[in-house]
Amino acid sequence: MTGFPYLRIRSLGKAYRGATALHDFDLDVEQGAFVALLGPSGCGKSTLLQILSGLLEPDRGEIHLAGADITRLPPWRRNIGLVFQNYALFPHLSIRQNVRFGLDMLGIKGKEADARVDEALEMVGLDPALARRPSELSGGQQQRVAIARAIAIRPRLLLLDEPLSNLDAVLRQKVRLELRQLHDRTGITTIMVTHDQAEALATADRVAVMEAGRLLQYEAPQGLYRNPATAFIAGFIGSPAANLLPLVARDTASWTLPGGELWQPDAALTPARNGVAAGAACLMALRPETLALGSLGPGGLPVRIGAIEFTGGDQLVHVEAGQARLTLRLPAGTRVAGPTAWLFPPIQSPLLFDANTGRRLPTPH
Amino acid sequence: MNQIPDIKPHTTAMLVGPAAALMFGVFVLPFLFLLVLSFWSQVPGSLQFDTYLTVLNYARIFGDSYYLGGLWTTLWLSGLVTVICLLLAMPLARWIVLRAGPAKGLLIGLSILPLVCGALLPTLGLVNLLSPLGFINGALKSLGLIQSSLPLLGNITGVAIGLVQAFLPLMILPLITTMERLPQEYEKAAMSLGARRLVVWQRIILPLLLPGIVAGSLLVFCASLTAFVTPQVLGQGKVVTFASLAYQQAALVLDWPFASALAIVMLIFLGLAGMLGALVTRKFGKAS
Amino acid sequence: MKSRFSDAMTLAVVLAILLFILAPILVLLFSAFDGGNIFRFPPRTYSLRWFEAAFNHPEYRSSLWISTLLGVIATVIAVSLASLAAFGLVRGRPRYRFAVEVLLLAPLTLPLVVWAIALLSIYAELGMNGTLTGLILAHVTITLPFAARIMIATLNEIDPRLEAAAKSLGATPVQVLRRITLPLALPGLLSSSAIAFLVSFNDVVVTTLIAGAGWITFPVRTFSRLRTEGIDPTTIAIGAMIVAFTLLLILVGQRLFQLSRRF
Repeated sequence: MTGFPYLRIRSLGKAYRGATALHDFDLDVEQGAFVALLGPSGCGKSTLLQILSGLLEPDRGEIHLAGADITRLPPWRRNIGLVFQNYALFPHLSIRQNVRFGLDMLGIKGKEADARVDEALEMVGLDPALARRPSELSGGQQQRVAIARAIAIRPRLLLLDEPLSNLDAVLRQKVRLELRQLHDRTGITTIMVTHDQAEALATADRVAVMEAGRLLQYEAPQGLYRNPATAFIAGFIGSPAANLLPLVARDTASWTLPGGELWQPDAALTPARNGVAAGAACLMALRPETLALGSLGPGGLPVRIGAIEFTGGDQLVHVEAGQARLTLRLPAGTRVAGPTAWLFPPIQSPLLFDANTGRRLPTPH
Repeated sequence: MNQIPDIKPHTTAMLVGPAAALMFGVFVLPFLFLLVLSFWSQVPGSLQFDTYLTVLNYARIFGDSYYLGGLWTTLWLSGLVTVICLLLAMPLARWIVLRAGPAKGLLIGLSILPLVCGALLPTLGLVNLLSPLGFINGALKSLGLIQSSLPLLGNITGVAIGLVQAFLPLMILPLITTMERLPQEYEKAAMSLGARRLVVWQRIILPLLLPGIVAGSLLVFCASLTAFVTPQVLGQGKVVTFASLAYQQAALVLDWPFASALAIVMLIFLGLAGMLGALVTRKFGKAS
Repeated sequence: MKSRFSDAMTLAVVLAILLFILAPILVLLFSAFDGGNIFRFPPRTYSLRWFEAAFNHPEYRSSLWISTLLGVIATVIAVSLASLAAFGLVRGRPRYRFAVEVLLLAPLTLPLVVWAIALLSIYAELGMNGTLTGLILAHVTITLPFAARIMIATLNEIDPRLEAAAKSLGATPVQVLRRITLPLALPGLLSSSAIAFLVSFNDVVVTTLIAGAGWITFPVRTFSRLRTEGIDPTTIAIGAMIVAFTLLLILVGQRLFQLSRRF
């Protein structure tokens, strides 16, 4: 069938003991893509991974892989590689036996199997001659073995379940780059589940953001950052994530801050210019790295300076605007004088969301 | 965890001492005495020991088809009971660990009941169930499945049923302990790598459960080999097991040196079973 | 659909196995209320007459009394010794910890009948056969491993940092023991007491060999009657009471302090 994506998920549904884990879920993945499933714990991303690997049966919906319906196929006939969060290396088998396991199942024997084990271990940067048991390896090495085991069967799809969550911070940075490089070398279509937005943005071609069993937005990392579809995503993406400032339109030219204070912004940020009627409540997403502080000036937001965190090249400045708390990321050298100051958002059309639904408000032209 | 003890060495010794001394004096020493005693003999017509060392007791055991027959019966009966216990305990333990949910604790509590009820009381219930006029025969007759009662008491069948019922907890507990330490991910990983259920059992589950299987089997085998209450009650004196021979000699005939020799022979077979268990673990536990 | 069917099959198998374990005990409970003279299940008529008979039977009364007395004394001694030893092993972490644990738990794996034969001969040499002291020593020995196992597991689960925290707040060692360690170890103490008592009370293997004519416990009396006269309904009635008591203790223990988790 032409025009079909490589992996096609349609109206997938799954409920556990009455609670919905996946709700009418659609997703298309192109061959060779690296997709991240991003969301907080309990959003259904792990359920989706289990269904894709065949370990869990969906209540509704279909999954097509390479043109064939695999929805009811048992896991052992799917040829989908799966890397577990805790690696799940068989403790009674050596490292080579672990990697070889899937090849045994495929009936690949002798020299060919040896060669493929070598290849897989080299691919993840491990010495093929490593004659040890899984328990004798460090966490990072165990993970490499788990990946080698999954790619040795040359899977049609590689699923990674929170691959970086059991590694320390330094190793995490290194491994996420290696995961991307491994993907580029092998060309295996990869789906990674993660709750860490930085991980998703850094690694994936496209990110699928999930909340409460639904797909919120499916886009390339840059698009997700620039155009978040909901306040939830805006408040989730970026480090630190965007500030969500609750505002009520007071009239055409000014906003009321939480706590009742007045803000008369630059013309580009007024309710009238953004199509917000007087009295309507909304959330304005303010990215910490786009904000500036000044001592005086029209259009500024009156704030009180709170704690300042030094992070190396930058500093995080916590301020209060009325009863709302905001965070700014300023270059480390910037002098911040308190106790009060004026905060200046960038003069461009802002990201506004409906305060009730969290949906993005249309940008007027 | 810090490795510095919280209490001083001599305090530790004082705390541990009484229990250790008791177990050594009252439990371990008698075994040594037993070994010596088995080479003594009884002065005929009295309770006095003749301390002249002799292997006559052992010669009597291995030279008499009555005792050899009892030994053989006991060995294969214990093996049979062990296998049945393993077959029954495996699905039960797996279900309790994976599926029982909040009922798990209660089910474990109920399955260990025969262990704390002692050897005698459950056999009373079993006598009733298995007797010619008992519940099982009655039920089978009223269903029209049998004409005359099946002989379930006073033979090896009844004894085997009783031993399985009594010692099943000894298999269930170690299996549950081992299964609880086994993450479900191993099975899932194997399946995602192309292993069917049978292969998953063969290559992943059974090898990883082996320590629990060996431990449970040894416990059941030892308990069956040395049981005498259940065989006596359910065998109604018609099934001669080795432990009941030893019991008769010790409690009724009062020939303690000979009883000791019988007991030592049991210990030797338990030791052999233990060695076999260790061998199996070594051979299959590590290799692929 | 297929998985639902196999689920039901698995459940049926599991229930059948559980029933097999529990059936003899349930049968005993029911049969005790049989109004007739023959022990049968299910009973034809129900009555409490065998319970009355059991209580009016002097031999049974004295046996039950002996069993209880022995059980209580053995439990108190065994649980005390086991708790002290467990505390020493877990908190003192001596180098000989493993060896002592093996020693304390040995009766759980070694055949008691073999040991009882040896003990019988030693007691004969020492003139202790048929004495209460000899019986108590034996019962402490068979119950102590159960108590030790539960107490070691219990104390292992108590974070020593809690005791350190109490000390840093100014508590003396005795206060730490009384206000921190003991309350936290209480479920373990109760579990081990319950199990130790049941093991002692229901033991027949060891007691039947070493108990003389003066101290006949209930299981020993039942066992000897069984071999000579067969089962009589009075025995069933008492057996049922003991089984009911055991079941109750296990269920209450399970509910109050997860007894099975400590076993």
